[in-house]
Amino acid sequence: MLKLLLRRLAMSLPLVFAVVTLTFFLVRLAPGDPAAILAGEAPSPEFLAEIRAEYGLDQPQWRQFLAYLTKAATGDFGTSIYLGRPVFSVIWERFPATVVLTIASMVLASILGTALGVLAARHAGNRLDTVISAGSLLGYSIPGFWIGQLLVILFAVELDWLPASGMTTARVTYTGFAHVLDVGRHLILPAVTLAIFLLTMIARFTRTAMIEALNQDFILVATAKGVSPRRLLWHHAFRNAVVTTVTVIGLEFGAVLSGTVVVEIVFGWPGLGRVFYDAINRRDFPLLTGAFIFSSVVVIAANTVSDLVCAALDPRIRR
Amino acid sequence: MVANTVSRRGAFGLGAGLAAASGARAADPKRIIGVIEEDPPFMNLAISSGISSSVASAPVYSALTRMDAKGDITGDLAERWDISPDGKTYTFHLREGVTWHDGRPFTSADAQFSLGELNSKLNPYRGALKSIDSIDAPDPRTVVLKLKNPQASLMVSLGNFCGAILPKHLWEGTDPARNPHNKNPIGTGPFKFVSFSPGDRITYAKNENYFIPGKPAFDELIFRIIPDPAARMAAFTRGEIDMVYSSALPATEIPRVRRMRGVDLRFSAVQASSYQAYINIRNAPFDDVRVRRALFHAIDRKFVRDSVFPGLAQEMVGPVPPNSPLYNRALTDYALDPARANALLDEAGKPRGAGGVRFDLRYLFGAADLSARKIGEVMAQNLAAVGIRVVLTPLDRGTLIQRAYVAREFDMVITSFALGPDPDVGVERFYNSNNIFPVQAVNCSPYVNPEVDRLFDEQRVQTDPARRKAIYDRIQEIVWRDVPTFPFCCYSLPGAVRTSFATGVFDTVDAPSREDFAFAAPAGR
Repeated sequence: MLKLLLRRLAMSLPLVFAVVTLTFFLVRLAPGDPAAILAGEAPSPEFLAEIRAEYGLDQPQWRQFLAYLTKAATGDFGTSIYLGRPVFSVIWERFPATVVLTIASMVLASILGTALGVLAARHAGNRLDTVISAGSLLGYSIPGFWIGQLLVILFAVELDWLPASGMTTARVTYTGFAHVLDVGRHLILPAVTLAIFLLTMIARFTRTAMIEALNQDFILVATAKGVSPRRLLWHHAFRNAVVTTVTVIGLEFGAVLSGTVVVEIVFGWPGLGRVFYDAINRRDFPLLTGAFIFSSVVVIAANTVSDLVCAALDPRIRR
Repeated sequence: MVANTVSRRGAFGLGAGLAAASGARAADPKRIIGVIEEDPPFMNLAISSGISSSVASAPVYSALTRMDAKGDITGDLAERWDISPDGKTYTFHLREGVTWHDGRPFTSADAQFSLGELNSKLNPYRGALKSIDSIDAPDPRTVVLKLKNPQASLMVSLGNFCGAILPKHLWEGTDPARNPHNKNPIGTGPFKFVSFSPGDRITYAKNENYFIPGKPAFDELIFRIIPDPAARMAAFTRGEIDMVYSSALPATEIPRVRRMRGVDLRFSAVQASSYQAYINIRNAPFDDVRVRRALFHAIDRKFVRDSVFPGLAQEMVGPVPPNSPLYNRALTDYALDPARANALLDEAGKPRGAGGVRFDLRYLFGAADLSARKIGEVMAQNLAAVGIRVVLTPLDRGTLIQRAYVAREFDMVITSFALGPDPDVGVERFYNSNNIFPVQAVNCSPYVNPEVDRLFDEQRVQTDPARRKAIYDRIQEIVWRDVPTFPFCCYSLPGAVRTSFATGVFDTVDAPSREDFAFAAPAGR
């Protein structure tokens, strides 16, 4: 297990370096001058020059890259051009909101997706299976921003059950448990929106893995030995299928994280997804590069964790 | 007995619930909640004019004077002022006992420093202050501005765009771009800055020592930060937000907001904006004035007004908005006449080629700007009829600035501009050749006409309003003849406010001003 972990860590280092290099140059390929965006309407040429000099934008790109690498090696990822604050403190203060959103939607997607997948497999070929499979396909195909806006119109504007945007109520300041409940109410719609994609993926993969497991010889043997259908399903078949489910969750973590960009905009959620969106629009190179590096590290970490969980669940992987 | 216990318990439960509910209400401060579209990079009116910066700074700062909802100049930090008969000396007498939000006293040295060192040098509209020769502070309560020449629009500029007064003790000797008070503003305005939670909200608290007694009426002001227009309007519809100023209220939503109960649309009496395109007059064939005039004859501007801004827009003839006292009513509009447009294009030597196309027109606009997109679609149809193929080019903000204003790779680029309150502030910037820079919102066509430059200088020193108007009339004639820009329409877009929650003045200019925050009051007062 430790060996597996070390091997994964060793593999991630060149990956992170590649991400740093690629994102550094890719984000600078897009036309647009961050200083001009920062300075607003009709800035004085002196003020523009001052901003460019301050952020080293007047230097050749290779020199900017070397300076970036040297600083990044010491943990300094520069200063956001637009916000004028250290990149990592910007990312760090917005990350918790994204963690809350991502975890809530992943838990929701995992539980519901697995349940639907198992249900569909158990009723494979009949009407319930068709409904679940068709629903999964639909959920997988519908764009998140559209679903999100429909949910806002229905549950926030028309029915007035849930807040339309933000993470907390602005009208009243809640503390303690009331604050937790307030965040929970604000979380429901964005978490559901973000969960839909992953939920349908998990349902589809779990269904396939369960059908495969249910067709194995050991199931036949267990059935012959008189094991109850429920135990057969959950204890024998599901334990074999769950590795697939965990792998899907690990693999799709990156997709969920990138899904937060759209969901956070639609729901005014103050997380990292909006940092990405704003940084792209403002050509905030240091912030954008920093956010890319940070999220790739998070995705690599999540994939490593998923590998370790799979290894714990399935002894064959450990070898 | 049992019943009695139950009823007592029930009564207790209900009572506790009510107490908790009313207790929470009573303890909660009176809040007014507004919305802005993005995190402001600066909260400093003296160096940045970006809309989010302007809105986020407006509650914090004061100026010597301010413009009220009717467009009249009244005192702000200055109680009164005298203007010398030759119009070259302005003496401002400041209020007694005004303090900064950090408790230090406000004096004339702060005004002298802010106008001389910050606004005159770094303000995007600093051109409006260039007639100032010297700023003196003979005593702590007096500021004297000496001008090189009289300037008719000076009071408007000082009260609006170029006059924010910042504390000298926190800014002197610092680099204005890096001063930490860009993010943590200290002013003398109705609200004190409390905190900024990026992507979420900015919180302000009432300035208990505000110099207008009894104001502001709210204890707290919160700006929520919601970039997506649909999310913003959903939050407003639900009552999560009490006010949306005009540039945060999409024009396409106005008919719906108009029908909402308990919501008032507020139009500014003094500001006018226009959807206006720069025509790149350095690029062939648009360097030929006949081609530019052909555009005016071919594009159905009335249809644009009626379809894109139904019931909100006015026609705009010439560069100055019709609600300005300096507007030239004698100008005649270019008639919608495709035949005349075709004739002008033929005359300019631009015959139709394959498929009837004479040439392409690259129309650049912000991808998020729905109105600009609709205008482009109308224009594309109109111009196709005279053989001009419009290439609709939606771009994100960074690319738009780079391609249009820095690289000048456009034929037409459209944005909405504030044109007032005085044309010296809102209009001259597009046509004076001393204002050609590779940045947005200046003379980007770029238009060079020495006569127009000279007339702008001449009118600025006029103290006789009639004489000034006559010069401005001439400027409008020339610009309307040369048409380096294409004003589609003029409008005053409203802000929206929830009347069930707040009453007061909103949107005296394009964005909320100090006036709004100082005089807004909870409903029922």
